[in-house]
Amino acid sequence: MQAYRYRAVVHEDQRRPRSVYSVGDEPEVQASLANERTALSWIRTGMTLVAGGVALATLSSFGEVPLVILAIAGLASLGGVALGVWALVSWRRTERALRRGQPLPAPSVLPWLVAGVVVVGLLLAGVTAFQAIELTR
Amino acid sequence: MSAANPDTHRAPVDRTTLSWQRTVMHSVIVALVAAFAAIYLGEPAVAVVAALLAGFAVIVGATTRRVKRAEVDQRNPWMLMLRTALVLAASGLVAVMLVVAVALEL
Repeated sequence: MQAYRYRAVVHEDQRRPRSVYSVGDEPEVQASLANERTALSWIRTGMTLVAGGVALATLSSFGEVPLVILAIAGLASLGGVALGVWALVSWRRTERALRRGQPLPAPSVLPWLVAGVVVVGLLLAGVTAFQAIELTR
Repeated sequence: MSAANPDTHRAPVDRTTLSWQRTVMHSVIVALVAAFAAIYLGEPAVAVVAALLAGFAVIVGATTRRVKRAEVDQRNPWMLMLRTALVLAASGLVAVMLVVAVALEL
């Protein structure tokens, strides 16, 4: 592993953000690439939330939709934006930890994301079941 | 794939490149879906914004300087990542615009 470590001693590192590249040593390239892919995965998860918000808004073309559905659609879209911002923050924190040889920070947003998905899933299931019961009456 | 194979370390580089391509494609698809949904829902203003965003996402994907892996000085994904996150933020705001437009018509 040490064979892949690189110390930028030849000239000053010009890469941005300075808060990342001005600290520590160049990490193993595989670890840095994995950090990049993880951030991209978070961005794609955010895009999936935005797509879910658009899909829920499209439900209104079938007729009147409960306001709670539109509220979930709006929150999902805003959640997607928040995940995009968090992806950048998380990439920066992890890259700094890699460069300093420190333990990697935990994905602190993950429990919130899981809780949000579970709550929204249960809420949508409840609304759907309620509407199905109304239809059968 | 043995440790002696010189191509062994290519795989993570290729995976990362594919990950970038998937992300850019995702962003374009989400913006296009938002545009079509807005047209379908009779919200032409939102549709125009979403279509412009899809075009912007394509331009970001096509014109951003490639992240080169060979030299340490050029191994810097920050600007590309920042632009992709901006496209995501704009997509999210377009989706919120669509939701608000639909809610106002209810």
